[in-house]
Amino acid sequence: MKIKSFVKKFLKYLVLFFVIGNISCSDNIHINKTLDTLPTIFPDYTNVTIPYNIAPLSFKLIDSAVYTKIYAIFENDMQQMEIKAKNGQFSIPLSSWKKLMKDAAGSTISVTIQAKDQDQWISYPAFQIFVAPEPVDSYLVYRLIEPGYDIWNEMGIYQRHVEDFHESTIINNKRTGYGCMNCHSFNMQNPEKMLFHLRASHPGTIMINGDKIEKLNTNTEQTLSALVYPSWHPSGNFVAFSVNDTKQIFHTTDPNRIEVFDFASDVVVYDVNRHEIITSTLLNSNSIFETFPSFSPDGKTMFFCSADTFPMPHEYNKLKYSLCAISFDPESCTFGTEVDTLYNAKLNDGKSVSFPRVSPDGKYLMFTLSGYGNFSIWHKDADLYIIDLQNNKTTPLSTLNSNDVDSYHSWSSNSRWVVFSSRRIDGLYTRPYIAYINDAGEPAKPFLLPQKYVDFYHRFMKSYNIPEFVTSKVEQNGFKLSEIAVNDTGIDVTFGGTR
Amino acid sequence: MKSFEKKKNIKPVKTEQQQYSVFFAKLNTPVVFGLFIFILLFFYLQKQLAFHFYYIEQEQLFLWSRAYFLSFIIKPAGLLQWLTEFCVQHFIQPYLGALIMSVILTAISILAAGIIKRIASTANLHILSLLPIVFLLYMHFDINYLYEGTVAYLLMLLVMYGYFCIGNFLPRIIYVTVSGILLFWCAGPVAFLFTVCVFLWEILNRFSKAFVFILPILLVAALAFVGVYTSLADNYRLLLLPDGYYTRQLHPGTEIYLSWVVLPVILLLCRLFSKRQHTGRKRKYAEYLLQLMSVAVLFGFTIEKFTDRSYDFFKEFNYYTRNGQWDKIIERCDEGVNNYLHLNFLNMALIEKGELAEKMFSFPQGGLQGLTVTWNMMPHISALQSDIYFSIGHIALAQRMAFEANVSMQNSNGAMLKRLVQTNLIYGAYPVAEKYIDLLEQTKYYSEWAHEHRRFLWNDYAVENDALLGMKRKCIPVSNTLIEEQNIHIDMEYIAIQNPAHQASIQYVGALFLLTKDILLFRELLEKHYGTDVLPTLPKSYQEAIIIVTEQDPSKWEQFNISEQVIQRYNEYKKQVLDNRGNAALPNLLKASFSDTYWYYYMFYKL
Repeated sequence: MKIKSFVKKFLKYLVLFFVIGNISCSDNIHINKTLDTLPTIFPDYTNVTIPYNIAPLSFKLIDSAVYTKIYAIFENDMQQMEIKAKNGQFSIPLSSWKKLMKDAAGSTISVTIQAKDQDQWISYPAFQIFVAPEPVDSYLVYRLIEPGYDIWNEMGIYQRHVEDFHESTIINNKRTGYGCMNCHSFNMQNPEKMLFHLRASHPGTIMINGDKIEKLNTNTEQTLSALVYPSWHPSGNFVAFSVNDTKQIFHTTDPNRIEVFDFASDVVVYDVNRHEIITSTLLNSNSIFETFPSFSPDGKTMFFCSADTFPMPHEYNKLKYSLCAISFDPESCTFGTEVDTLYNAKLNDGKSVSFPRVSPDGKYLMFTLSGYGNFSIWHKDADLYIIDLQNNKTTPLSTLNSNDVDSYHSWSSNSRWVVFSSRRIDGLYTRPYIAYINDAGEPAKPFLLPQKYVDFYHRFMKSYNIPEFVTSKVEQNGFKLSEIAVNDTGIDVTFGGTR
Repeated sequence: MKSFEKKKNIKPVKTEQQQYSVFFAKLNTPVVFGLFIFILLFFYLQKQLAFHFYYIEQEQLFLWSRAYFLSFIIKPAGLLQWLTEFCVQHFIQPYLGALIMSVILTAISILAAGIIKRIASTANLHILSLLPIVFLLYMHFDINYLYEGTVAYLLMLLVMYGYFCIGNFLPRIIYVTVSGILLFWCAGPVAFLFTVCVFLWEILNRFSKAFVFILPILLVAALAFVGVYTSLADNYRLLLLPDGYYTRQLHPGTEIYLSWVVLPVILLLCRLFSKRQHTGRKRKYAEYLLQLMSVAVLFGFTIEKFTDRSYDFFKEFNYYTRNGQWDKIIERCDEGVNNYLHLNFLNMALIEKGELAEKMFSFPQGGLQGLTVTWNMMPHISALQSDIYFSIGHIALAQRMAFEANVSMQNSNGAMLKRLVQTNLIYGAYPVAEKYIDLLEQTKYYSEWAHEHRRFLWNDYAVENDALLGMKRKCIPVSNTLIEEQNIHIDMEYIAIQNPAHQASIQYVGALFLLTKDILLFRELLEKHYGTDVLPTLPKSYQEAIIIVTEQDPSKWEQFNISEQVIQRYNEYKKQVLDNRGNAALPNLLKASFSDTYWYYYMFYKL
């Protein structure tokens, strides 16, 4: 009897709750005043271009404290969605967002914010969200690590389903002795062909090729170090790597805080099937630093960064890398005899190139330019540039760049989206921004990877490092990867000579 | 007759013996027993662990926000961690650490006593309920022990008490299975202890059906497998054993298992004595007394063995540092200085008081390590170095070490986050300073400080005119240099020249040369800066040192304004040295009168 009456009461209050809820969501709004400036919102989603398969863009109105009620009205030609702010934040339910996005590809969504200030309703001018016709790759893989000096604690490589808010672990360092793991890389956004390095404890390189997982010991007597910055050959048979004698040092005054530099570096190519490293005299010079190799999508060219050496670390700020290219024949695994320079750091405005990445359609190459050196993730002047590979014309991506670090970037498989690392929010913690690049290589305003809770980035104390798009989920299990990392003695990679 | 007595409210007169019996009967109640344990624990913990509690508080940062709560609730043992952090945040307040832990430990004891009473009411074993708290207490001295372990133990006993209240088989197995899973989700490894204890009890009591109770154990083990498989933990040890309540990267000592082992032992004893007949009161109290004495003796004999008190001073000095009680550090060092860490705190206190150059040799110094110990990447050393570098005005290193310490402590060290707010304000890195301020504003005990610092954001004028931040901002070198820690004296001299008002910087450089006995560099330093704003006067130790450098040329003493008193003392010192040439007892002879001089350090301290 008691249970019955309890259930009755519960249902009564439940109905009442929804009725009141609906009323509150259906305020009779009569706008008394329309403001003439766009609302200040975080993240800044005003006039951004997004893919239709992205997760809901929850945001907050910065000056929400002065209002008693706030609504955001999302509308396009077909439908309208009204979201009431809670504590100034608009949290859009996934299902409502999906409904809004269902047929929105190629269209524009108008967002109007209306707020009640004492007895008056005010309205901000509407801002637009442009929905691109092309989707973005559904997964984003990144490493999460503090932007620190020497010490790390827990770190790992994670994948985020960008169509919702689900993040899962590919591998973390809890089962690998809390060592460092870095430089994860995929072959043409393919989640089945992945590699990453383990450092400090259980060192080695983990190569994933479908169900086949190998651990490689990549130190050889003939090379400077274990393999470092990778780039897969599209055939999957080779991976270009740099080998670097790297150090880091700290500044007393410079806002960049940390300086990472090489005492020496070369570029090599690893033959996946023969477990062998080869190189070229043009990539292996003592008087030149070569680093950041990057294969073109047709596999016939390898781009890399190259700089004349200087005494390090004292002349660290004289080191400027040019963007170079050398041909590569995958059949014979040989390099060309000439190096082309696409961006000459000596001739131009004296800046330094890092992270060259070619779009999968082969049309554009995006890279980072900063004042000097190659570790641009710590350089506040680092900005993104694009080269049209048909005419070698270099253009700054001003729409993407900010006053702070804008650096590591990767393309989506359809060449229409890039994700890049930026420190524009607080100057220290790297966050992933996604931007649309049209067929003409022109960028649209980027947007911050949406999170379920708007304040997430404010609370979160780790950086998003090396964001890489992949077309679907990485299915390899962290447990299995850790087991191999810890227990496998690894395959010793050999040096096959200079070609 | 009865009704007459009631009406008149006349009570029968009790004999003295009866009165004692009533008193003891009352004493036996959980409330009185609990109160007694609580008071005992409170005074003990306050006396022994007051500074430990302050220190532990710095290893977590409880945020009063819904998002913070939700971030915990979605992960295994997250609720427990949230609850524990909620408790530990209050440790920053005097007495609250001892109070909260006394309440939790007392509750453990009461629940254990409740279970014993329920399953063996006539066995007179109630005092055994003190054993878990005795063993748990050992762990509370260890800075790497996570207090989740104690809170989890309490939750587990609560669930176990529920189990002993259920009589029928089916509800019992359902209860154990469901609560085992929930306990694993909410509190982690204690679920394994709970299910194993239940299985043991079922074996002892209802052997034929007991094996069904393997099911909850298997389920918990399966959950642990899932936990490891999904990388929530690096191994089963952390999900099934008390190791899960210890700093992850470290391995605890055997003492962490004692509180776990003792529980099945108590259950076993209860089973053995459960059929015992009621004993007389006298015998009962004698047995209680015997148990109490045994527990006390056990505690007394083992506490030293299972606890490491060598860092007690570190926690105490850390507290004084956090609260700027520099005199307390110096006072405590008057009682004796035993190691480099002692000296680091002492010299920092002297720097903060502006007395390093004047008084450093009043204490037995220990070379460069006594000024700043070698960085070993341990979080407490990183934090200490951040404090030292902040004191001497090397803001870049203070920031670096604060960051390193904070990362090592899961980004949850309130003191180091405060430091990062300071250093970023000093550098004018306002966005990231605001991030840390926002974070601290969500706490109970740091929010006021953080809010007060909000006024410095994007306000260079306010920063520059603040006594502390303004002074430290002037210490940032105008020209950037790369930090080479082996050459820190170069940075510090540069800072001293740039900001002569910040005397700590030049005092540090001077101390560094004196402690390493590099008197040529010291002389060079003095020749460059003596008489300038950087070094307007020569403190005592500097005068003593310059006498050594210029002994052959006393005319220089006038140039450096060496006081008559110092010269006279030096002559006495020299005389004693010459008079006792070849005497092995010379160091001791000089110690009485000259141990506070640089001459004594220079002559007898071996680098």
